Order: sequence, then structure tokens, then C-alpha cells
Amino acid sequence: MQRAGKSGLADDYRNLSETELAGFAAANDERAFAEIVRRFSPRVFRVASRFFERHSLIEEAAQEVFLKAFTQIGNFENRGSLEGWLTKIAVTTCINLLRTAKRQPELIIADLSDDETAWLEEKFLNVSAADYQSEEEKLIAADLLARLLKILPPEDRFVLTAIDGEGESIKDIAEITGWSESKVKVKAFRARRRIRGALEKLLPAHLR
Amino acid sequence: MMKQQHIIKILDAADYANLSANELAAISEHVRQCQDCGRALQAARISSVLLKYQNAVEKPEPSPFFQAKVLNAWREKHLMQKPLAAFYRWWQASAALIILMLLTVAGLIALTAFAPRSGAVTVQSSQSNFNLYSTDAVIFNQKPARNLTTEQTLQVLDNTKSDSLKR
Repeated sequence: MQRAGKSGLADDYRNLSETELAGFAAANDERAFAEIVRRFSPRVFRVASRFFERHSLIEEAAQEVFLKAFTQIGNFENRGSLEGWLTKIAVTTCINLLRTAKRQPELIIADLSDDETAWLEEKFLNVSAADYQSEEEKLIAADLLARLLKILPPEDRFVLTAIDGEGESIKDIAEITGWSESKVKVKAFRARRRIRGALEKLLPAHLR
Repeated sequence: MMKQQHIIKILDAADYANLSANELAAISEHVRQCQDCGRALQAARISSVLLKYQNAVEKPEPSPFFQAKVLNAWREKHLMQKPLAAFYRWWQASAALIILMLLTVAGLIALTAFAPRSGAVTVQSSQSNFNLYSTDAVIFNQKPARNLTTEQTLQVLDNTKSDSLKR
């Protein structure tokens, strides 16, 4: 590799393919590590944000992911993409971090804010209006979703948000997690049932 | 057929938004007669809508310092894996404490060494009026045979004994 000054060097690393980058990183090249973090941190943050809400926790998880990846970079066999490999590490790391954390209590109707209750009532009466929500209402919905998702085990939460939320396929999730497709289906089924059950309980009594 | 079957399993098997027209028609048909399934259907619809809103919230981006932070953490972790470097880091962290402890121990040793000597001086000075070669002097000074031969010492002891018998 040509080494022409610091910025030139950084550019050189930016132009490396994933395979080359993994090779340099496996040889403990710190600049390759830096480039991996620069290139893939948005993806890792995105995965971590499916598991954590607070930015500090997301960043902590992402850091853990990269440290784990650097330690295991020698095991990356170029079978898939480096991004896919990092995504796998990110999913397992986040699940493990959440497993060690406290389980969240069940959400009850009293926990809902007035805005959230109004949003639920409105949605119950007119779901088709979903496309005409204001930004503020979208945020209320996102917040309510975040709280609902806390009742799920981390693995189920990841599967549900990836499949129903972001439209990823069961096959993709099976590949990322290393689980069988039937396991992914079971987790998605179980997650939908729990979220639906929680929502049924949350719906105002006069609307049930 | 659908009229007799509850639809909950269908709702849980797939995202509501991905149900086919046929499935939706059959569900609507069933829901007209089943209140429980009607409630489940509403909850499934809301759940489906909610999950689409997760992207409404701005996704967190790595801070400008994130890269440096990760690399620093990596360097630290890497250093800890090398024993000599680990020792160096340990020494950096605890040198002050260790030096303080060594100084304290040295101080204690010095005190222990000097304290009995000063006590001996006191005893010696208080006995200065005694006969240098008396039994008391020999015993308290604990310096046998400094100036005396064994015979002289025995003679002093004999003299002391005969003195006390005379008394």
C-alpha cells in the first residue's frame, strides 16, 4: 500500500475492499480498525438502537461490538460480507447485554400518558388514518412502541422489529442470528401474540 | 369454515399489513360474530401500525469521537494482554501507594531498631552507681564477658553471695 502522508493514508484505507480491510485488521493494523469503525458504525448503531433506547447505552453496546470484532477478526473467513459478520456480532452482543439487565415490568394502562391514551383511542377507532399522522403523533407512537417492546425478551424484540417493523425476511434474520427459520418464525409469532395481548389490555375499557 | 374458527392464530402468524385480501375478508366475516377476535384484530392492527412508526424516531448516529473512543478502548485492552505492558500499567497506577507502604515499613523498622537502644541507655545510666561487675550490672546490662573473664564473673557472683549471707 502506498503511504503518502496521513490524509493520503486514510484515503488509501477508505478505498480498501472489505476483504483487504479484514486482512489488515487481522494483522493488528490500527488504521484498518479505524476504517472499520468509520465505515460500519452507522450500521452497528442501527442494530443496537433496536435493543436500547438511551444513546449512551447504544454507544456502549456499539463499542463492545467493535472490541469483540477486533478480537475475533482472525475468524472472519470472507464467506459473507464484513457488514453481515459485524451485524451478527452486534445482535448477539446486544442480546447478551440485555439478558444481564433487569427484566422490565409489564406495562399497565396507568403507565400511559394522556397523549398515548388519546393516540390509542384514535387508532382504535380509525386505523386507516395512520398515513396522515403529524410528526408529534409519530413520536408519541414511537415512544409507546418502545415501551411496549420492553415487555418482550430481547431476541423476540429484535425479530419482531426487524420483520414487522423494517420488513426484513425471515431468511435474512435466520442468517444474521444463526437460528433456524422455524425458530425465527416461532419467535415472531410469540412476540406478536404478547404485544397484541398487551395492547388489548391497554385499550380503554369503553372501547374494548 | 372461518366462521367457526378463531382468527387469533392467523393474526399472530404474520404482520397484519401482510395479510392477503382473502385472509382479511375471512377475518372480517368471523369478527362480525366474535367479539373476542374483534378486539384481537384491533390490537393486531394497532401493533402493526406502531411497528411502522419505529423509524419515525431519529436514529442515533455515532458521535464524532466514537472512533477515537473505540480505538482507545482497543489499545487499553490490547495492552492488558501483554504481561510486561500490563505490569507497567499496574506500576503506573499503584507506584505511589507502594512507595508509601515501603517508606512506612522502613520507618517502622528504624523505630524498632532504635527504641531498645535508648532503653538500654536509660538502664545503664540508672545503674551507673552500681558496681560495674555486680550481679545486677551483669544481668541488666546483658553484656557478659565484655571485660571479665569467666573466672572473674564467678568470683563476683561468689562475693555477692557471701555478702548477702553475712547480712
